[in-house]
Amino acid sequence: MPIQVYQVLGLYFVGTIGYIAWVWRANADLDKKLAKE
Amino acid sequence: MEFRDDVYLGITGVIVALAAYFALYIAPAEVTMGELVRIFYFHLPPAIICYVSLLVSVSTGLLYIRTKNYKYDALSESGALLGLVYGLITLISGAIWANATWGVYWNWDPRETTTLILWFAYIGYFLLRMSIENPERRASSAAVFNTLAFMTVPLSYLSFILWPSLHPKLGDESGGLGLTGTMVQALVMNIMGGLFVFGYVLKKTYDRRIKLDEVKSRMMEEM
Repeated sequence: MPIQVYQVLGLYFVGTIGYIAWVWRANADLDKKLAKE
Repeated sequence: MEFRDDVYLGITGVIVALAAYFALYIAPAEVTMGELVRIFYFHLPPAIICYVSLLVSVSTGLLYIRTKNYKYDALSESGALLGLVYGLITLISGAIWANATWGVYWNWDPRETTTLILWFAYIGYFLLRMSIENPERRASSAAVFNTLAFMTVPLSYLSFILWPSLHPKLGDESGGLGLTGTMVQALVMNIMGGLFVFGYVLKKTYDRRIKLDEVKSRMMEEM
């Protein structure tokens, strides 16, 4: 399998999972702030 | 019924894993492009999701103008943000594919160029949002700008019909991608998996924006 196939697969999956992780964390931080106030 | 993150993500994970397996191991190689055609299964879905996301963004922006309900503005901003994320994935994966098949990462092909214009149009959308403090003016101006920026979506989609382009076309026998049965199955599965993920991240991005607004309004009340 050409390396470029894995590069694109990696980009797609890491990009998507990275975004999910960021949005999860942002939501969790905001939940904490809202619970404190 | 309550939305269950774990159930939704579990189903999505199974679809995405099956789709990736199909694309990498079940679908056959293409006659002219060989194994490189497998890039297509991970390049087209983010491109479609980018367009869908921007369609959600412009539609809800127009709904905001009509109703002045901030929830539509929040959804519009979330759609535009995801359009940028998926647009970037599309541009980079396209450049990798271009280098593998044409020998250069970027050659100002109409599809590449118009998609880059689309991406910068939505960077402009966020710059506009950041430059206006009044929430009502920000939401209205952003919705109007969004309507103009969205014109880059059909431009990007139709670019390889409007101008001569090297970009592969589906079902085109003269140098394009002629997909067979299993290839179509792999493509549809990857698009479905991608749309399931998109549904989840759109909801979470929207939730974040609503919570952010609430935190800001509480801070304003305290001041």
